[in-house]
Amino acid sequence: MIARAGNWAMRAAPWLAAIAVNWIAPDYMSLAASVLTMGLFALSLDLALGHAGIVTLGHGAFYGVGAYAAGIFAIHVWADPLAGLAAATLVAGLVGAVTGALILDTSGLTLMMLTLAIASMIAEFANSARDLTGGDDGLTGIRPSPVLGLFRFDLWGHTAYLYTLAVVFVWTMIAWRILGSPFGHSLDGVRQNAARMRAIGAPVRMRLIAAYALSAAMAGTAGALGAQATKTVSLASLGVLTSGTVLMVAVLGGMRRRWGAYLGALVYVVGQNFAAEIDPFRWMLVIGLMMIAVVMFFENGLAGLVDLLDRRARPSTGGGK
Amino acid sequence: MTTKLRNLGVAVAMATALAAGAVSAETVKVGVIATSSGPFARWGEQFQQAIQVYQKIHGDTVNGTKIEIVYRDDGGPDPARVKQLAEGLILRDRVKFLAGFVFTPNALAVADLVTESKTPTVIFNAATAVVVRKSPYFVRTSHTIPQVAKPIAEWAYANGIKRVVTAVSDYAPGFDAEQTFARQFKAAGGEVLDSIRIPLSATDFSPFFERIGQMKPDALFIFGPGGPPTVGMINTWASRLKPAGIKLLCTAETQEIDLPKIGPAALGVVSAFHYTETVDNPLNKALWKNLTEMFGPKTTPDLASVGAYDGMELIYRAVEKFGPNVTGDQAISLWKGIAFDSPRGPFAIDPVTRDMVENIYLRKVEERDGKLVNVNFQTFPMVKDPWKEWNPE
Repeated sequence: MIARAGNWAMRAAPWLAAIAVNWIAPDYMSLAASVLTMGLFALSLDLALGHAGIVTLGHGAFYGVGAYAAGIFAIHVWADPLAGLAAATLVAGLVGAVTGALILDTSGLTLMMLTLAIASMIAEFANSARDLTGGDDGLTGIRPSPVLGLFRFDLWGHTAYLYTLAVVFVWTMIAWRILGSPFGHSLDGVRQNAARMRAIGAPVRMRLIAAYALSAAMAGTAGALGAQATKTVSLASLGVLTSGTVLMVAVLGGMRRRWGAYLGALVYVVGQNFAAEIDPFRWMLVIGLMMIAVVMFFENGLAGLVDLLDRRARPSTGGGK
Repeated sequence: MTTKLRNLGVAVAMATALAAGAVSAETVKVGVIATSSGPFARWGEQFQQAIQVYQKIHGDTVNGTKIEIVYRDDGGPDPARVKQLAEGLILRDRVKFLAGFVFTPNALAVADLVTESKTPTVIFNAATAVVVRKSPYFVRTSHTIPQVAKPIAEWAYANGIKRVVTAVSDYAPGFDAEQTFARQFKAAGGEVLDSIRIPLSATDFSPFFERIGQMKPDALFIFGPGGPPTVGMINTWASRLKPAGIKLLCTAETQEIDLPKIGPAALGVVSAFHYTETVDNPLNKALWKNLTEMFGPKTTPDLASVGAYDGMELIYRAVEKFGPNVTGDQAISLWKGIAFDSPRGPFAIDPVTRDMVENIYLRKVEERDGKLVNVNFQTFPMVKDPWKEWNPE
């Protein structure tokens, strides 16, 4: 009973800490919001790549599609942020389902190249559809109305932060629930041995498409949150660099770990911010060294490091969770 | 005795003056957001060097107020990051001014923020025409694409070029260049045979230029993003179209930084731009001399350098007039209609649009002392951005 309560406290603690940030670090609201957005984006990649084993180098496409969908929706349809979020999630999920159905017959290197190709096509479309997207100048003029008609997006970014936190919380709960379900376990099965999963009668392709679409929808939400917070969308959000960054964050935090995505986002985004403040001309070196150190020494990323410390602290409790 | 007394008096006076100086030595921080890492890192470097030259010439204090520069790196076009950086600078570092901004999306990302915080913001580059309209606290010290594309169209028609093909890189600034050129050239009576858009990722330009050769225009107008695409376009022109007598017209493509890479192919190319490194005025000579003295003989001033240099002039003037507690509205009201001499020539800020008014030079690439440089041969004096006349608010 006590252990159970302790377990719950452990699970709630990071969320409570995240709420407290609103008062602890009022000058860092937009940085904190980017940590959450990046964390959600990395969690979406973890779902597709970490669990379902879909090797993708084009996840930035869904982030960008979500960002543009939210922006265009806010400008031309309705400025309500929650409606924009829903629209962006839907559009990104749909794009994920359609492109997933096209490419998920393949695997490995072929699949990787196809995800890259689709991402490039979407980016090129956004570049040429200038009337809709603003092209290389970026999409501007996004003015989200107050959340629920009550809370205005303020200069200090408190509303944006708490709003982001609420959305991220809901999505994370959904993701954890799904990953703990039979469907979630079947994804791990597909990753580990697709042939055997087929042999026991699991609809492997449908499972993969569903996971891909779900992951795309989640990435789309992250993109929409980014667009609403910054009120602009640029072509870079669709780019290869975005896909690369999120992969880096996911690996840094640790794939298939409960808090891995958020841990990676926290260290990457905050580290990047401070390294760039200290030395704006050479900060990339710090990030690169950090990345090399984590990949070389900690198999499971930062989450693996936390495990290691945890085991040292309590040598008697062996085994996994 | 009297001398002793006088000495004492002088000493007291000096001490008082020093003390007073120490008290009034306040600091104004200027946040510079630019690209100092990745493929566009040269921009940040050029900004920083020009700012250091400015502070060397003018000192780092103005009327007893110290000007401190805080640099931030945006890594390229990344509005989300820029917004974060700007928030940090305004809310935590308490900067009085924001400056820099290489890319248009980055400048647009801070528009709402600086409007709300009333932070006077000097854009050193970001050349899309619409940018300064997005916040009443924006001014700009670079150029707009229509501002340089219109004069070259005017010059071309007046100098016997009647039929032109345009070829631009397939992105927003390219479209602006293409449309401005075509609009002006057709209005003058010229004919645009074809408007070609070349993907940004293209490395082989010969198929496009082959087609252009078959159309036999008098000249080809190009616009590219600088770097490899520009070098490729000019070299392909030199090998395929130049022998057929087709002239090349452009704007920023022959900028100093790319000339050594283009090589002799660039000789004779005509371009229109707001800054030419060989402009003959004492400020430009001082800028070039200081740059090479401080950062090595290969350093060359370019559009980034003058953008930052004149931006600093604006900030120094605002602090000089209003002191360390200058407000956004004071700075903007001073800057509207301000005019001064710049290394580029005369420079002014339009009182209505808050955009720069400046000479646009027609230049030709020549070889001087074994080095390729642009040399002016005609000046369009004090040109305003035509886009704002064509698109009233």
